[in-house]
Formats: sequence, structure tokens, C-alpha cells
Amino acid sequence: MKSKPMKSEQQRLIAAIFAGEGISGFDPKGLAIYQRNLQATALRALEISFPTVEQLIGKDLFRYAANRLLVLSPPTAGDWGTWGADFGDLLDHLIELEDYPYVADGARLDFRVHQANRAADASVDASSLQLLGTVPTDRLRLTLNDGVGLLASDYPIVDIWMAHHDQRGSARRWIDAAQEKMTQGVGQTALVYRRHYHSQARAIGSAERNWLQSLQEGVSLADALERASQTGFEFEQWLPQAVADNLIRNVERY
Amino acid sequence: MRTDTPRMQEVMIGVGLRHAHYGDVLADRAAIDFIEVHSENFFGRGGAARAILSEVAEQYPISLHSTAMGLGSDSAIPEAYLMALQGLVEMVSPILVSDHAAFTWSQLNGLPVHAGDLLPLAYNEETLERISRNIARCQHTLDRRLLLENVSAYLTPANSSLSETAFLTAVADESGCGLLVDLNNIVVNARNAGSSDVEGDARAWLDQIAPHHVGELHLAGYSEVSEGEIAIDDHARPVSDVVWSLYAHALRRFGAVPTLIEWDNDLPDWQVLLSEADKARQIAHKVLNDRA
Repeated sequence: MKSKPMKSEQQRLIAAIFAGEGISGFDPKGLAIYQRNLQATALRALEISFPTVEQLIGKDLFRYAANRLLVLSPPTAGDWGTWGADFGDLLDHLIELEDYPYVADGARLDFRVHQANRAADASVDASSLQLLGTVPTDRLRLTLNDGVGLLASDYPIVDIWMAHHDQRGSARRWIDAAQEKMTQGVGQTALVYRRHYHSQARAIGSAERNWLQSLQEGVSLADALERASQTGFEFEQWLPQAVADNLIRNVERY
Repeated sequence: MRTDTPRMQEVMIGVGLRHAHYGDVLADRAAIDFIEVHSENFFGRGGAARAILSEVAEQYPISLHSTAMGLGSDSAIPEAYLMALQGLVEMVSPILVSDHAAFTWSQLNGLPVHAGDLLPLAYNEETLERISRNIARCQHTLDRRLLLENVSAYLTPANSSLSETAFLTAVADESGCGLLVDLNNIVVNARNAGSSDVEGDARAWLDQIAPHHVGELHLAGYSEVSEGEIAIDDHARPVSDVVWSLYAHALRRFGAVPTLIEWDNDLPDWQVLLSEADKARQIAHKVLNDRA
């Protein structure tokens, strides 16, 4: 069988770089440069994708967590903007965050917001909304834009996220609200969406969450409305705000 | 007797665009001929970054410079990467598309990994065959010629049997790609190899490259380090004197090749970057038209 020196040599160098320590066969100074480059690039990438987490846990712990992620879930694409889907899971198990269990869901929310920022540009196909008045709802389906995401948490993740992102100087109000919910053991479901080029998150109730989950499952509009009727959800009230928030891609025949 | 005025030779001069300068580049039309962006920064399917790139592309020709294709990897470039790059090519119709003579895709603990860096190649027949195959596939997908850039290497892989210039020449011959000659990388490598005549060795490097292969030049600076330390191609300083001197030499050898000012870290004001581009233009004008 033909040997594969190129493959094995490349794998050996990559293993040495990700190991983050000296390995025989490589000049330690040169290897250290690649190791530092990798860690610095990974840190920069996560700082962009997880700004709330960095503020919550501080630079030193954030850098440590970034290095751990490199080992446990190394990048697999050439686009650092897609890396970090497992960061929340890693933070869940960091002993240093044992007393701050909400940070992991904060990371999951950061990542959804970041992905929404990169999602395909989309706005509602307004003409398709006319189908709502002309076609039976069991033959229609309402689809959401790519950037729309849901995240349910046992913690007040939206209040925490808003404390770091509200541009109106209301951080104190969000922190107070988060602390009150933490005391009461109240969680939040975050709805992530993008208007123009600015992704946002807001807390939604269980009725809207169930409704959006039905839409994400791709059921017919009739089935989604049937399910929603049991939760007190009002479609007619929801629709104008959903259009304004750029949640809807279109209404299409089912 | 010839009465017409001899035609002046001019070089296209561009600058690299980084996030801090997005506002500047769109505020006023600068006296530059093209803008280079790092392709992967715009791989998202939508959003503000792509919107800005689209606006910039309406005002300037674009050069797409990739840093993550890993053309010298033993494994094939993932289809998803090529599709993202192809989408960007269709979006901005770039005048140049380039990446590096480096590897980055591999396996770690039996799973695929992207190393996130420009890792050095062993210059031998096996690598030549693999990189040529990867370049051919990329060129076929994009339906255009790729430019391959020489890199700064901080390790010397075992199993090299060719010089860097012989390897790059062979890749260009084999795959039909062009070469993007980064003068600063040549300087950094010569310095790190302990050269007693960095500029002389760098000139010799350039003299081993055939002019018809060269499609672009990169100019940059690097942060000096103390004796015994390895210099890093950090693109954090103005173009160095030795690189300016090499630039004149490269123009005499390669002719009017598009030229880019790279500055990626410790970014200066936009105007400082433009003044570097202006300096390149003046040197090119003088060298090429004195020669003419």
C-alpha cells in the first residue's frame, strides 16, 4: 500500500498546533507562532459572535473558554463566523460558571443573533399575503424568514441580553428585571429576528412560542391556527407586528 | 519619424479593505484602482457586511483574496467552501481571485478540521500534484484563473525536494494559475532564514520567477523583532524600505502588474493607507516610464 507522507505530515502539524504545547519534530519557536495565531484568531472570532458572553464572564475566562472550544470542537469550515455552535454546551460544563448557569443560554442566544445577522436578506412577499383571503387555510402554509429563531430558557436570557445591547441607556432596568425573574425562578423564550441589517431579540409568551413552533414545523395554516386556538393566540393581532418585525417570508400554497 | 507620444504605462494600485475603513471607503471615491477584500469575511448569505461589499463593488473593482481555501491540503476543498466563494464571485465580478500556497484542511482525532491559518507546504512532487488538482477544481468551479500567493512560513516541513520558486513555477505551469508575489513574505522568510543579505536574496527569488506567471504584487510591512526571534508577517506596519526597493525591482522584471497595499493589524487612518497607495503609484510610474 502506498504510504501517505503528505497526509500524515499535515495531520501531525495540525495535531501539534491544536495541542497547544511543544511536540518533538517541530521547531518550538515556529510551532508556538502557529499556536498563538490560532488562539488569537479563534478569540477574535468568538468575540464577534459572543459579545454578551464576553461581557458577562470577563476577558480572561472568555479566552480560556475559547481555547477549550478549540480543543473540544475545532473549526470545520473556512468561515470563522460559523464556528461556535457548541460554545453554550461547553459553558454549561465549565466549573468556573457553576454559579452562573444562565451564561450558557446567553451564549446560545448570542449565536442565534449572530447567525441572524448573516442570514439571507429577506422581506415579506406582500402579494402572497393576499392568499389569506382567497384560499382555504388548510391549503396554505406560512413560512418564516431564515433569520428567525426561538430559544427557550429557564433563565431571563432576553433581559440579560438586553442589559448589554439596549441602546437607550436602560441597562439598569433590564438588570433589575432579570434579577427579579431569577429570584422567582422565571425563564424566558427569546424570539430572534432581523429588521433590515439589525438583529434583535425579544421575549415572547407561550402562545406565540407555540404558534411559531407550529410554523417552523411546516404544518398547514389551518392546523397551526387550530393548535393556537387552544392557547388564546390572536392571529389577526399578531400578523401586522410580524410583518413589521420581518418575521414572515411568505404565504404559500400547501 | 515617429510623432505620436509614447504611451505611458500605469499600474493598477489597490488597497485592502478592513472593517474599520468601511465608512471611509464609501464616503468619498478614493484615487485607487481596486479594493481587495478577504472573501471569507463575506461568506454570510446576507446582512450588513454583504450589503457594504455590494456598495463598494459599485464604486470600485474588487479583488477577492481568500485566506482559508487551503489549496495545498492533502484533502479536497469542501464543496460548501467553493460554493460560497462562487456565490461571492457572481456577486462582485472580481478582477482578481487569489489564495495562498498553504494547507489548512486536515483531520484531527479522525474528524475533519480547518486549521484557520496558512500552514507551510513541503515542496515536492506529491504536494505539487495535489495543489495543482485543487487549483484546477477551483478554477473550473469559478471559471476563471486563480492567483497563488507565496506565504511566510515559520516552520520548514520535512520532505521538500524543490525550492519555493521552482515549486510555485511548477504549480503555475501544471495548473494554469498565476502567481501573486508577496514581496514582504519573501523578505520575512529571508530574514527568518538568517540571510546576511535579505534584499539580495529577495531579488534572487524574484529573478527565478518567470514574468508571464505573475498576476499581482502584494506590498506590506511587518513588526521588527529582536535578534534571534522569528519575524511575523503581521501587516501591522507601513511598507518597509526594503519592500519598496524590491517593488521597483519587481516592476522592472514583471512589468505593469496590479499592486496591492496590505495593512491588516494596528490599522492606520484611511488617508495613511491611501498615501501608501500613492507612493506605490509614483514608484511604478517612474520605474515603468523611465524604462519605457
